[in-house]
Amino acid sequence: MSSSFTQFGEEEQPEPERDVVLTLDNVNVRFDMSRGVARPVKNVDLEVHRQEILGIAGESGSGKSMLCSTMMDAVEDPGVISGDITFHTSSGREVDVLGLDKASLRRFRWEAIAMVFQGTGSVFNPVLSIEQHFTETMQAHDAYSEERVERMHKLLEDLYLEPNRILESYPHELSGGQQQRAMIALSLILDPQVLIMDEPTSALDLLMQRSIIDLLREIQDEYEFTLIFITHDLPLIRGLCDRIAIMYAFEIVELGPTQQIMGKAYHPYTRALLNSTPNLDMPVEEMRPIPGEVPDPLNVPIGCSYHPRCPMADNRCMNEDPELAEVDDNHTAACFYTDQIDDHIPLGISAGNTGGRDR
Amino acid sequence: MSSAELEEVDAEPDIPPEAEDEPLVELDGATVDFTVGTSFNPFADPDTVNAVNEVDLAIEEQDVLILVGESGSGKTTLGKVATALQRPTDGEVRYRGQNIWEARDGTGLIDIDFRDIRRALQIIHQDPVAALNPNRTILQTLAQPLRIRFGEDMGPGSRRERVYNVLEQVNLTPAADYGSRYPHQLSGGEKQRVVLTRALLMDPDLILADEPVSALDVSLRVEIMDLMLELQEVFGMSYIFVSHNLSNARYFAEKAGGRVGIMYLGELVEIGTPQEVIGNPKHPYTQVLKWATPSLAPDEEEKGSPPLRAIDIPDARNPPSGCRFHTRCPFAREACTEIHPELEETTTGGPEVACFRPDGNHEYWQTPLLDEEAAQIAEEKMEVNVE
Repeated sequence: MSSSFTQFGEEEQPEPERDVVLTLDNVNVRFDMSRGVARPVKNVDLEVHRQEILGIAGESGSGKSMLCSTMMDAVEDPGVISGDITFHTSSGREVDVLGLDKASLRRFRWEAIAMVFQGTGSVFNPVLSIEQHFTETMQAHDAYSEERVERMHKLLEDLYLEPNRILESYPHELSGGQQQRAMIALSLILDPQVLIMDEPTSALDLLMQRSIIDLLREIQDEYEFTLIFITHDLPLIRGLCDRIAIMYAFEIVELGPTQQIMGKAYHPYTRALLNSTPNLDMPVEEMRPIPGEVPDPLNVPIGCSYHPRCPMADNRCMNEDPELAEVDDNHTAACFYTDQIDDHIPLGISAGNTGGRDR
Repeated sequence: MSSAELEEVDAEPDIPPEAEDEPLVELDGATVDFTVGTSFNPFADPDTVNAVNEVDLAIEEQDVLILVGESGSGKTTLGKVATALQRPTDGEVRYRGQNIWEARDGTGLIDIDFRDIRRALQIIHQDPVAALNPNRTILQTLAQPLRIRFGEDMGPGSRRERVYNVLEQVNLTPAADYGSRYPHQLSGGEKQRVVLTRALLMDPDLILADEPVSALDVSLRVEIMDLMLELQEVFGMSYIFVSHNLSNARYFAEKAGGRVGIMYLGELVEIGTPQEVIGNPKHPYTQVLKWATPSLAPDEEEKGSPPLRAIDIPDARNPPSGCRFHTRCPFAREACTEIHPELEETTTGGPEVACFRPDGNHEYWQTPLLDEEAAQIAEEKMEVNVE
């Protein structure tokens, strides 16, 4: 058993077409609570491609963090996951994530999928040095070896940290940016195939954010992992991600190549989100908030969950829930009226957006 | 409570007539040095961090100033100096001409009582969760400033009515329902509204808003900034808005017709209208900040890392000589390591900039570049001239 897990990522195989590393099939999460039933992840179908950078964006409470916990089968009680989550090893073997026993699951996390959280302050143990964090992690996974130690040094160097100085430091001795970079190195020490990052830069300054985003692209290229990046800040990830999934009310409402999402979004929510984001490009008069609020997980509207906030909503939207449908190459959106979107919700930024009616 | 009664209670404290021409708040060479890290060695010299260095600044009535800078640039400390929450170690701070710390200590001529100054200068913090007592209802929290202002002159019924009035103004309706809630029953945006309401109930002249929207979702930021501006129309106070985000700064400053001040290691390096400072920045630091601000334009090319000579901000215990930005500035020349640039109006008018580059005749241009390669990269990336 243990041997099969150390094989995650250590076998070379010729690449099949459109290599998929993680498949989510009709995944739901259900919480039975005294006030009612909450479904913080709803009907998610998603294929994560090997070595892509996938952005997952949405407002607070849209379910994006919960979706990522689901991918690692890390939803806390009383949450129940249903559906299928399949992890594809590089040798082509399929792993049923939800079927893993406790011991296997422990190895699966970190060795197959690792996660970096938002506040490093609460993740690092304040009484352990950075080196002890690495050592403990390696030992817990029976993976301590010369090569790993070398990898540790190389990872830190690649993240522009001086290995010797950083390793002997305690977390509080490092700046926020250094902590976050050390955390990224730690999450990659066991050579996971997928790295999930939950708002990894929102606590940092602008210039440090930009540097880390830039570093991520470099190391992703060098260490060849798949990166899933959760954020509420669309402009920040536009230069990083290959594809972006937009979440609203616990569902994916639009998924497509970054350029398309930024320049030619088809879902009214995606457009409203872009138009509400402060930026330096648009006239200030054209930036406007999205009216209304994100729905309560216990009380999600029937029909399209966005209809109470949508200027295009009609009777059909109030009764029927639109499914993700293809609107362009590799681009899906869950809305009945994608063909009318340009008339109703023009994008404030129009570079590269030809009016959208030319398809 | 009738409006006549309200006015009576709201009667302005005595402001001497000659104070009318003075700026609301004025800083004169304000400097703040923090003593840090004496550790356990009683013989070691304590380190000082120069958080704010000789800043001159005037805030007028209904003014808006946005302070932008990285963590550790001293923007919050400067804001606290301007709102009498931090005593400067050197320099003077005046409220309508009255030296604030003389009023506090009871020295010198006192025209305005410190209690009136304290009431007039308010703050809202970055994290609304930490700023609200989880064990108190919103009504209890909001009645407190009224109790401080009016004491026994205002009964509980009038207090409640007053709180509900303001809650309605910040769109927390039905007010009675929100008043009875606890902080955990509110969303992030709603909590920030409550914190704003609490400051408003002191009837302030100036509110220091310390990163008021950075903890909020991107999609909520415009809404809260709009609300702050609407409230300014109604209540007529001024804002100092602290932010590390140029997009938010531009939005707030442009809509309010205010100024943007860029801070670096305790100093103001550029200040002017958003059209000047963000539209056409003159200081290399502002230029890098603008360059690094993520764009929404879908066809924008990927840009790589910021064109700086060093990623990390230098240690404030030992700020660089000459221009404090010279260790990271891609355009730094020998002169920058020795001469300290003062904040001056550029020869063509416009914003005030603390850099030699706008002056084409400065001896800066005769000294060699510290790093020609960095300058070239930056020149290409930011499309500005090195020569």
